[in-house]
Parts: sequence; structure tokens; C-alpha cells
Amino acid sequence: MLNPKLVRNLAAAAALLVAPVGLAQTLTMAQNSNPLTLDPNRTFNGLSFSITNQVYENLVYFGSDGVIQPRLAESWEFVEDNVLELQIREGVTFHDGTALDADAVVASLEHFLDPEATNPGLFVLSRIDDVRATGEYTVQIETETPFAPLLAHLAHPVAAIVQAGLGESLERNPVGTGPFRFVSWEQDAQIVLEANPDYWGGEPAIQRVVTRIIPDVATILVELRSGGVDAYYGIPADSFDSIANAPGLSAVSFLGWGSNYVGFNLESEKLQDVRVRQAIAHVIDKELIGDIVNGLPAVAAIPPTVAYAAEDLDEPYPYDPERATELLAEAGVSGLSLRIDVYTDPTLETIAQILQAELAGIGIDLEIRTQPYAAYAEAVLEDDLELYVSGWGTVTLDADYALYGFLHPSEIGGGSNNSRYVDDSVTELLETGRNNPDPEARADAYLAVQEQILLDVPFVTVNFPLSTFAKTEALQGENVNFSVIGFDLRDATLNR
Amino acid sequence: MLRYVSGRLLGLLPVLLGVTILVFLMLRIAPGDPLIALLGEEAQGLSRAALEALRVQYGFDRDPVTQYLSFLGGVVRLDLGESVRTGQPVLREIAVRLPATLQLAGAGLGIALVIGLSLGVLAAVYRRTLIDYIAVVVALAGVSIPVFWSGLILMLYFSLELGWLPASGYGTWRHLVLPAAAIGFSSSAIIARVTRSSMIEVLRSDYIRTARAKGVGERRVNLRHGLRNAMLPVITVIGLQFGGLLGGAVLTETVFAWPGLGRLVVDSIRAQDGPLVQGTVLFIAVVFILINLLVDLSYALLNPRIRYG
Repeated sequence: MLNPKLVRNLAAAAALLVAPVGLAQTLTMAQNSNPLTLDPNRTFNGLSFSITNQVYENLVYFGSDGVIQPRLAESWEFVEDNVLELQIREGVTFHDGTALDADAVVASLEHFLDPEATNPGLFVLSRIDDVRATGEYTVQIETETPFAPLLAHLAHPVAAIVQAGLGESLERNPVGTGPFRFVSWEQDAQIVLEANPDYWGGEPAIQRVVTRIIPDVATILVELRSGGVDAYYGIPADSFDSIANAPGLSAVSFLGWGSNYVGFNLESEKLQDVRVRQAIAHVIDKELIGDIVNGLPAVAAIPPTVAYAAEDLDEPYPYDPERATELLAEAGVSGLSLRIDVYTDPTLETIAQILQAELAGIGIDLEIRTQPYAAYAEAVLEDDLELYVSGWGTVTLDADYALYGFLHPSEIGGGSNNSRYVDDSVTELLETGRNNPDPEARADAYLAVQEQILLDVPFVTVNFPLSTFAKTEALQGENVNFSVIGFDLRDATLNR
Repeated sequence: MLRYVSGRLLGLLPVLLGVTILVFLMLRIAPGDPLIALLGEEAQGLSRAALEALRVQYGFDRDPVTQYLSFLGGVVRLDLGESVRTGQPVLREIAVRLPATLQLAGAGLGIALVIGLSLGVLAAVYRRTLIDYIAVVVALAGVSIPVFWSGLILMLYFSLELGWLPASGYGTWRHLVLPAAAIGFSSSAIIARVTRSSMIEVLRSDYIRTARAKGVGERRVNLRHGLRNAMLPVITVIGLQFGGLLGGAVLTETVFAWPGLGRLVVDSIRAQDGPLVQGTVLFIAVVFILINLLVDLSYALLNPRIRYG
């Protein structure tokens, strides 16, 4: 039944994977599921980016201070309002030996924008009109209209530069310029990368990065302690302390780019009176919820890790059931019964349940409808939507991505503006923020937007979830940049 | 015999057709837009135009009957299509997981047989003694304790506490021990119970008394005359268990991060990856039916009175 040759080969392959290159310099990571593809231009999923970010590089990236830094592009400037010119780094080669030059960058961006391809992340760069090489190492990117967040979008993992000449084979055999190059991928078992000796920034000290696919978090926790896994992003809140206290392990939590929010359908008759929405905001106990789901209480719509987030806003709706009752009385509302839509997610379900209990205290009956994400995504488009609770990641780390999506009228009905928020002055400010390359003008516009929506309450940002990362203490010098998809191992060492 | 086998194989066709229709319908009944299910939460950043473009690219815009017929046409040509999510051929996705599944099913069944048959025979021979009661309790524990608990306990003890074996993963025989033990223990229970009751029945037969009267040794009576004749129902159960294991032991594979078929099936269902769900379920159905056929044929080997004409 078992083919002996196959078994021998498998055993040999396994022995090779475990044995030769100094085990000490092999970093073993874990994630819950396979990536779908290893071509970053063909996915929009963290399970892929966690691998592709080691193999490929972007033109620019976000430093840990949130400022755009050079990577494959050494410098850049807007030569016209809608034309960005970048100088490509010289002396960089892809893992297959081909050189990176302006033509290769253009080919990669065209590979990304290929209208024939399935690219769920297309929207990140879809405003690009034309990409052209104007010198051996000079590239110009032209957008239809001025698009201020362009650099932030170029820093997103989806926009990584690939060896486009390899086409579809990149999905299984990724070839980039990054510090690690691809070795093997066994479905549901592991993905192996090795240090790129020719990396332009110097060969990394860690020689091998093995990412094991382990679906069960309980197993990962055992493996962290037994040494079968060295690092893992996203430990559950209730295991954080036990991992942090385990000998040889450390655990950190940090602010990511996410936010959790409760939204209102402004077209729902029950929710049209702003006082009703304010009353509900007053019973959302952000401190309590933050303690339970491991998040920082939020006021602004986007976390301070995101460029142009307003950081010093006062909470206009502190937890105050009495004030909430007054507001409902002023609005002449009593015996209200509402429904909140949520998708299956422990954090979001918890928020809905706490809200349900608090609303009962001020005489509002809240029904929770929990569905798988696909069904939820349809429900929020229905006219009978009332409340919804959702998570959001401002993955470009630029306010435009969140605020334009949440608040611009063009995003109603299938976009991200599920609150159906329309306000002409806000619309104008959002367009200024998107089109005006001047950072100060953008900052002013986004501050005004964030202040205005605190008055209008199309949604209440409940908290900014804390990301967690556990690792062996032997691992030093790694940079968990906002999330595992920005994980940087170039200067990391394993001291064991 | 040959006619019987080919008849049974032909009988497969309507069953498989039924399986494909059922699976196809179930995928349609699942709530929500299959495209959104496929993309997951990442879909929330996509504009409606982008979603519609993706719908066409993934082929979700075609009507269900066309989708089904093109799937069926592929099956006839032994082409199960491509996974929507990964773009890989479904047959390939199955093939890369087959070695792991075979190893776990084989080792698990081996352990289940050793434990199950010994417990069953002991319990029958020493019926209504302490040995019987202990065997029954052990068997009951095997059925009752879920693998996600027993597996974790095995891991905590043998990996974390003693450091003898890797906690999870795939590659060497050392990785195989814990998952095979976990799955073997839980599958042994039903084998033990069927062996026990079948043995008790056989040991009451006249020919057993005759054998004893002839002076045949107790060990030979129990194993050669008793167990061999008690095996028919046991073989049926073993076949069912093996078929189940080959279809993927979802929980065991999940707990021990074992890259087998079970996880493939569950992942594909979660993502509503139509071709992959259809292909894997169809594959498992074929394996299950073939194993049952083998079980039926093995009856003739064990009991020469059974003939397939």
C-alpha cells in the first residue's frame, strides 16, 4: 500500500530539513493555515504576506516610527501633482540572478495591474494610470488624479516587487529580492526559506526560516514551550500571561493598525435621531471591553499608528447610563428594540454581548445576529440593517484608506461605508486628503473629519486591539512592524 | 467472482452521481455569497466593481447548472478541476496529502487492531471477570474521550514533560507516534466491543465444544477456532474504521498539525471552495466504497462457505 521509495524519499527529505544547516540558526515560526499563494500581487491575505514579506521587498516601507523609508527605491519625488518619480537602488538582483532595474520594476507593477489576473488587492494601486521607465534606474508612476497616499500604498505588502518574467510560477516558487529565498513548501506542513547570501543589505544572520502550519492554537502553545516553535504572532489573550511567564519565552503586546467599531445604519428610521446614537455611545464601556478583549479604548476612528490619526481628541461620550437615559427621553424614544449584525469572531461577538447587556439597562432590547462572514457581508448591505459590529485594519497605515472607505458616499452599497454616511463638507475634506500632496493640508483635513464624525456618530470606535507576539528569548533584533506582515528579520539573531 | 466485482463497481456510478449532486447542492444552500466566503474578511476593503470583476474571474457568475455539468464532465475525464482559492489541480491537492493520510491511517489502524483485538478476546475469554470489566471500561473511555483532549494530554506528557517525542508536525516516525496512538486508541474501542460480542457468540458454538472435547489446547481453541470464526463482523467494522481514517481524521490532524486529507476537506468547506469540496468528498466516497468492496471479498477468504457467483 505504501510506496517504499516514496516513504524513503520523504524520510530523507525530512532528515535534510531538520538536520544539516546549524539547527541553532533555524528560526521556526508557526501560522494557522497555508498561504493561498506566494505571489504577493495575487492575494490580500496575511497568511501569504507573512512569507512573501521575507522573500520580496517593496519600493518603500514603513519604518517603526510610521515614516516612509527607502527600500528598493532610494529616493523619490512628485515631479508633477500626479506623477511620482522614483530612483531604483542599483546593484540589486532577484534570487534567480536577474538584475533589478527600472524595466523590472515596471514589469512587476504591470504584473500587479494585469487586468486578466485575479488580484484581490488590486484596489491598493488601481488608481495608477501608467508606469514607465525613464532611465535605467528611474521609474515614473502616473495616477489619473493626484493621489497623496500613493507612497503609503506602494509600501503595502501586496505591492511588493516580483520577478515578473516568471509569471504564474511565482505562486508556488516565489522569486524576489528579499533577505530570504524560497526553498520548499509542503502543503499543510511547512514552508522553508533560507538566507539570501547575495542580499544587497548583507546576508542575514538567521540561516533558515521554517514556517510550520499548525491549525490548533493549543498545539502552538505547547510547541512554543517544547521548543518546536520559536515565535508566533497572535497568542490568545487568555494565554498571554502563561506564555510570558514560561521560562525561555517572552511575550509582547503592541498596538497594530486595527480598530473594532460599532456602526449604525443612518438610514434606519430607529437610528436617524443622533441623540439615539449618542445614547448608545454613552453605554459602550470602552474600558471594560478593552480589558476583556485586550484592546486600548479608542476615541478617534483610527489608531495612532496610522498617519493622520487624531490623537488628542476628548471622549465626547464617556460611559454614563444616566446621560444615555436622558438623551433617549429627549429624543422621545422608549421601548426600542434593535438588532446588531456580527460575524463569527470571538472579540466582535463579545463586544456585541456586552453592548446587549448595557442596552438592556437603559431599556433597549438588542438582538444579536451572528453569521459567518460571507452572510454578514451581505446582511450589512440590506436596507433593514440597524447596528453592526466589525473589525477594520488600516493596512496602508494612511488615514485615507480608513476614512475615505468609511465615510465617502461612493463607498455606500458594496464599499465600506456601511453606515450610509453622507456629509458634503466631510466628502470635500476626504477628497482634499486624497488629492493634496501637502502633508499639512492633509493633516488639517483629516483632523476636521475625525472631529466632525464624533458629533455625527455614524459609528463608535470601541477599541484598538492589541497584537501579541510570543518568541523564544534567543531571538533578538527582530522588528515586528505593526503586524506579522511587516515582520523584519534582517538584523535578527538567534543566540542559542 | 469477476462478474460480481464488476457488477459492484458499476453499482458505484449511481452512488457517486448522488454524492456529487448532494455536495453541489449543499454548497449552494450555504448562506452568503460564495465569493465573499472565499475572500474572507479581506473582502471588506474591496469596491463593488472590484468584487464583480473577481466574480467573473473566479467563474461565480456562471449559472449553477452549467457549473455542475462542467464539473461532471471533468470527473468523467478524471479531471476534478482546480481549486478556486489556490488555482492548483484538485487531484494534486489530494495527492500531496495522500502519503500523510496513508501513514496515519495505517499506523492508527495497526494500533487500533492490537489494542482492540486483544481487549476483545480477553474480555470474551474471561467473560464476567475483572479482566472483562476493565477491558470494557477501557473501550468505553476510548470512544468517549475526544481526541482534542487526549491528544493534548499525550503532547503535554510525552513532549513537554518527558521530551521524548515532537509534539506535532510531520516528517519522521517520531512525529507519527503520538497522533497514531491517539487515533488508534479511539478506533480500538469499537473493534474491541465487536470482537468481544462476536467471540462470546462463537465460543458458545457446538464445534468449540467439540474441539475442547477432542483435547485441543485452550489457546488454540480461542484463537484458531474462536477468533477466526468471530472475525466476520469484526472485519466489517475494521473496514469501516479504515475507510473513515483514509477519509481524513480531522480532529487528530488538526491537533497534531498532520498534513492529511481531513484538514483539506475542512479548510475547503470553510472557504466554500466548490471544486475542492466536490473533488475531495468524491474521492473519499470512492475510497470508502472500494474498501467496503474489499471487506465483502475478504469474507470469502475467511469463510469458504461464502461464494460470490
